[in-house]
Amino acid sequence: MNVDVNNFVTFDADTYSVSNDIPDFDAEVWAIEPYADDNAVFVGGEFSDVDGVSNSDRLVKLNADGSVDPSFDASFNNGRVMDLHMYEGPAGDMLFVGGSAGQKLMALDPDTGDNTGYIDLGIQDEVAPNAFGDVSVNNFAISPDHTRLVAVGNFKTVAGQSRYRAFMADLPEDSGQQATLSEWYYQPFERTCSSTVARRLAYLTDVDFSPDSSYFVVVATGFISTQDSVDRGIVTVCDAAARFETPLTPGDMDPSQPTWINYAAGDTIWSVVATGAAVYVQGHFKWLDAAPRGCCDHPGPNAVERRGIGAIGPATGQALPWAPAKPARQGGKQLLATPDGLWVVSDSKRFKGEPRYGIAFAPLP
Amino acid sequence: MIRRHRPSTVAAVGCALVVTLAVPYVSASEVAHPQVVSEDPANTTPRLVPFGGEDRPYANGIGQLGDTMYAGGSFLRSGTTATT
Repeated sequence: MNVDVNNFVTFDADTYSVSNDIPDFDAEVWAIEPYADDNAVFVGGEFSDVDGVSNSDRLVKLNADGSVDPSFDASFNNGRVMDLHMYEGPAGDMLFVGGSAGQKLMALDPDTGDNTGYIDLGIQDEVAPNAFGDVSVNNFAISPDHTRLVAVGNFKTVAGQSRYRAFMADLPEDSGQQATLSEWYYQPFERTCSSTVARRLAYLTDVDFSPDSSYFVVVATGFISTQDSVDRGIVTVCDAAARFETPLTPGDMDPSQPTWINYAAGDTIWSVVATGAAVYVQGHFKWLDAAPRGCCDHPGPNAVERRGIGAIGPATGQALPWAPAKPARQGGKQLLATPDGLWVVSDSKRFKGEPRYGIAFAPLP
Repeated sequence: MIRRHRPSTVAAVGCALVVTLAVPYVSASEVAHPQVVSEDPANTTPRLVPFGGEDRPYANGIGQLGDTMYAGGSFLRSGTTATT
């Protein structure tokens, strides 16, 4: 049975039956974040109207039944919300919001939508005009131990410091203090990849911390690394996934290169999630384990076929045998690990040969 | 007013028994899996259906609250996936 909807659907997590009463969003939805303490769900995107409720621009709080909570008002009216994560740590409960709206990365009161000011980092200077929008935090991740976040997007300067495409912030335990820019920086993010297409220039697309907070993985579009970078021995993260260690000492603040890097042979990786057992990556790639400038029909001698999704060994950085072919035109923008398995959303029509248009769930055995 | 965190978020996943218990909320990066997930997708999850000018619909985000899944993106029709 089909249900006509508007950019949003709700369904039962066990029976998968689709709800009858679903809120309508008048434009694209980008991010969904639950808040169990309030039995609510935050939804962000490019929309300006949800079910005709006023103050529903870009970010809304839905009650569990799908109705809009009118007491939450973030007061955005332009740009877009790209990513949402609840911070439920020692500084209190806050909704962290990333995107091109407002200050690009903000910590909101989850009841009112008011900006708490806990994050105010001064994110500025686009890498290029229209590099997937103007200055924007496209995705970010909070370390599960609540001490840090890493953000990726279209910017060159944070808190007056040079931070191309990625930065780390330290999160204080005291809600009366503010997040500060970390000294951590991987300077090769200043280099370009081979693509000159505007929307490929802010090439870091997603990031996730490991469950134990000890490392994080960034993924990228941008086409292959430049010949110049390879000739100079500079490891650039272009159409690739790269693991970095969460810094514990000052010596870790300026890594000379990633712990490992896995190249996708000139095709984009859009999303990543690290579960401890694997680092899952999703995009429109055909290969993993490719050579640094491997591409297309010549991905390199060690490349393995992985269509649209793959799993990388967290220690080895090499593709695991897991290979449910999932061809994509664009590739999916989110992977969600739950205690039961892995939800995969995308534009793909099939998952391991079976019809699963847009949404698939790979359960734990 | 920021509320203090109530320690209700339990993401401990160590054995199959724990995995099957209802967990009210877990944030994505906190979830640890004991092993790699299956290659075989669950049957009958909702699908997106090309419709009304959305000839290549897609989903951008998904979240779970209790027993309900919420998914959003750019699409105008959803349906039940055939099991084959």
